[in-house]
Amino acid sequence: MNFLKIILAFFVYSSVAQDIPVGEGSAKEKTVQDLQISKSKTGELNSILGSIPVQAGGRIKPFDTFARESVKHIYGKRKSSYIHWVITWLLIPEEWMNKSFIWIEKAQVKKALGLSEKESHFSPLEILSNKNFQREMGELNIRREQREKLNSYFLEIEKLESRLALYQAIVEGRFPGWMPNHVEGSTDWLTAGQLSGAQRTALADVFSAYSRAVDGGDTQNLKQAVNHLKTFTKVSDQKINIEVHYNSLKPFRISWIFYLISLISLLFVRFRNYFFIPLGAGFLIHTYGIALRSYIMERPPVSNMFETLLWVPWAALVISLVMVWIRKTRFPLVTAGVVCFLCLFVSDTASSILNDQLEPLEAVLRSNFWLSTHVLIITMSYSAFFLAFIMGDFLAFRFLMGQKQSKNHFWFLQRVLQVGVFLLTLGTLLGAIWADYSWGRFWGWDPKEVWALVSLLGYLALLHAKLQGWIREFGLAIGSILSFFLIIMAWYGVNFVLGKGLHSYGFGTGGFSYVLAFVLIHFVFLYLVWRKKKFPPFEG
Amino acid sequence: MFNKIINFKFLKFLSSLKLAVINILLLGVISAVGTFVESYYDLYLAQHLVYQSVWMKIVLVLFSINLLSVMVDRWPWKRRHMPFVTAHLGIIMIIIGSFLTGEFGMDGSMRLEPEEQSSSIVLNPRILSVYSSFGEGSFSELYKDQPKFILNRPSAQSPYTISLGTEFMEIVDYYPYAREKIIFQRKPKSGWLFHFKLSGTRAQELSQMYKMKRDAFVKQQFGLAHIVISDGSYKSSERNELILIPAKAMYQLVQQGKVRQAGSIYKGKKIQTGWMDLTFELIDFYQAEKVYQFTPLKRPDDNSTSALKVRFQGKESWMKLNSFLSFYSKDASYTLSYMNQRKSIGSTLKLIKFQIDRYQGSQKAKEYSSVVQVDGHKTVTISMNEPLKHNGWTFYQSGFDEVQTASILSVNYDPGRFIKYFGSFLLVAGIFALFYRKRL
Repeated sequence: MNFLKIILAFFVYSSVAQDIPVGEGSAKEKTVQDLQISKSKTGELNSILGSIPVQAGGRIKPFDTFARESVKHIYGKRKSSYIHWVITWLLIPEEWMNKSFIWIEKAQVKKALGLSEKESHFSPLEILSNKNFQREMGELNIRREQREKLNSYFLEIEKLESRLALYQAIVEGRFPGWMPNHVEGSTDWLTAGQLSGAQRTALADVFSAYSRAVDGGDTQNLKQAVNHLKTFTKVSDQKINIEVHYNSLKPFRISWIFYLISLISLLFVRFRNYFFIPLGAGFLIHTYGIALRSYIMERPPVSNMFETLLWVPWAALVISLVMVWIRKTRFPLVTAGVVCFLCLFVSDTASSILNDQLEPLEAVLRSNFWLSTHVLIITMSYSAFFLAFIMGDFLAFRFLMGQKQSKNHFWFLQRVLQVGVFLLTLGTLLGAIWADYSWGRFWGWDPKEVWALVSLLGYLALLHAKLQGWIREFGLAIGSILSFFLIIMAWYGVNFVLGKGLHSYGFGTGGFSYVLAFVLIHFVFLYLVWRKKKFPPFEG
Repeated sequence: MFNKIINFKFLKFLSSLKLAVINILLLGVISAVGTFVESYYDLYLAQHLVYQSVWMKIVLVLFSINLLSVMVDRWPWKRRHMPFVTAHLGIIMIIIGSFLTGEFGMDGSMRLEPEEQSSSIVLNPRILSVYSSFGEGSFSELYKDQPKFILNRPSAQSPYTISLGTEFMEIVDYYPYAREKIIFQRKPKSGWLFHFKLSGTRAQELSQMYKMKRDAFVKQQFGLAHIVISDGSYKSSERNELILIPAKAMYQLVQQGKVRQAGSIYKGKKIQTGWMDLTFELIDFYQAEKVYQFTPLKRPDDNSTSALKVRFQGKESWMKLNSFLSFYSKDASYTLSYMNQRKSIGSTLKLIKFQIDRYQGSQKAKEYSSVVQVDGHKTVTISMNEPLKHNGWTFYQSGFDEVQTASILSVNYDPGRFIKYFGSFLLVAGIFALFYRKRL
């Protein structure tokens, strides 16, 4: 049934599109290929249309964000002409019917649907007219009705369904909301299909001005039409513009590049002493990005895996700054630079696995007090242990290369481990108290809390073994590498591997093979270190 | 003398760092294993197999002894010992607090639909009990136990036996995870099963109804009217009813409180009901037995349940968790129940309203809360992060059932709370002082 609806949708023009006067050279007569617009024009059009506020995903956001998210969801990648894509989906869906832009990731799914395994994108027609797809959708629905746990194959079918559903909703003018509703007690905005009268005309004007602008016409008209549209929405421009600014700036990409430059400069004797300049620049932009994100969402950025990948390295750099202030060596700053680069690089490149959207909080997390104490503190302990891990790597590497060790380095390692243990204990107990206060359960053996405990026990065993004299400084370095795998389990594994428990708001799938490879490479490295055995003397 | 040395050495070991490290590692490994058990199966199994297992208890006891003796070992404490003592005392207090919660606390849940009231909570332990009935509504409990079938699975060879004086019942199998399916098997001298169709201009509905042999009648509402299957003794009290009497192959149609029409029933019989424009069409009716079938599953899912196979006087039947099963012998009737433990909390909660606040323009829940009336007078709102404290119990908004708009509260009583909080404070303060003062 649903299926028929989807197919039908493609043959019915969206209601708004029909209102647009089809003049000479209007968008309707163009093919998608003809509509490829020049880069410079794309930028200008994006910035004009991007600032229109729309309602989607539970909040008011700029059309810029909406279009970026939709294109990324359906196409799987970012696209510079995202606004153009979304608008032409709406205006000339028939042109998109044969265009391959719907992403299918898994080869298994392509095979089952009888599609070419070499391609990664397929056209709506190819998928919707596919008998195998209809059969698989039926299978998926049976599993849903029986509330079975879906395997990765059906999860992928489900993703494909959600891509088609989003595309369909945009095409039919059911999504997003464009204008506020004046009905008492309703906060739902009216979608393109629901608009009428002056509101409808205002939106149609924007679209027709847009297609004229694409054809080489004046953008002045488009600006006027957009401004006219905004008079209906009555949303303050400031926040919307800041979000558009955040979207286009991509602060975290700029900062990982700066962090990388800083690390590379360390390899050259000539530039080594100036490494802190790009590091500082990276840190400033990193801070700015976090500040923007917090301002837009009105909460600390620690609600999912992506956001912790921004926060953890930032806190690591702050911790290392405090340490440098006590003992003036570049060692902690360098390790923090590595942490920052690694985390931000992953957050930027693993965008198909991580969810980088700005989303409102799950109901359970809606307490800024607890979110900014428990979650911030527990993730800060990850920062400290990440630093210890990189320091351990560094010390083990020096050992492998037969270089002398500095006592100073070990001082930092010990201190950073202490900071981590303190923060992890505090954070876990605050979490227990929050859970007790909100659900009456101090300790419920939830996987996230159990793994926080297991990590804590790992580090405590390490510190006590050192106290007992079973291990010495070097053992501490190896131990901080091994124990960090427990943190990886608590941070990534619980949400992406175990996938059960109360902390279900942070769940995702994917990336397992990369993380496993990262861990295995370290085991090989540790094996090489272990073979060498003899511990080199300290300097001085 | 010899004894003393041994004791001394033993005490040394109990207070040693060696034991501490071993304990810490064991505790970590056991806990980690538990999360995998939970991920593959469920928390119920993980609790029984790991978190509340004997091994866990042994490690925790050893851990506490280790912590205590390490502190005794330092006696008399000096000022420099204070951070160390504080941190370790904190851990002991958290363990003691958790023990108090586990032994003397209660952690249950209460599910309320709008306008529903309840004064009892459902707890985790599963109770097996047998009642004997002596005619009209009087029951006596003959047997009660809290068997752990999940750990000791009963079988035909080693059944779990319930002795009922002269007679006995046996549990001969247990599926921790099973899917339930109800089927009807044709069998003379049992209940009656009806397949019928109700059709009108607006709607068409295929339905089935079943009357068990021991029931005088069953009644089900369809729109504005009722359909009743009766053994002939049923007297209508409703305005609009269709009464089916299979034993006599007869029907009676009640309209506006009076029997308007009567006749015989057979396969394919159509009756104009006179309610709206609905036609009743009898597709089939026959005597059948209702049988619950359970297919075992490797892992639990949202629809699975646990099931027991019961043997009584040579006859075997299945029942699921939170259900009853009745048995009849020559001179007695028994009801076997396998239920989560219920506990009365001494006060009554009535759900006035359950509300879900959603994020604008979406289905995503922003906040949910229950307006409840406590003991018939005080009206309060329970929301996430805003629990209600009443009579020593605390009521938390823990979830909701979207399908049936029911609110799910978690209700608990925790005598260990203060000790755990205080222990947490000591632990954190102690660690801070330890690390602040010295490096390793």
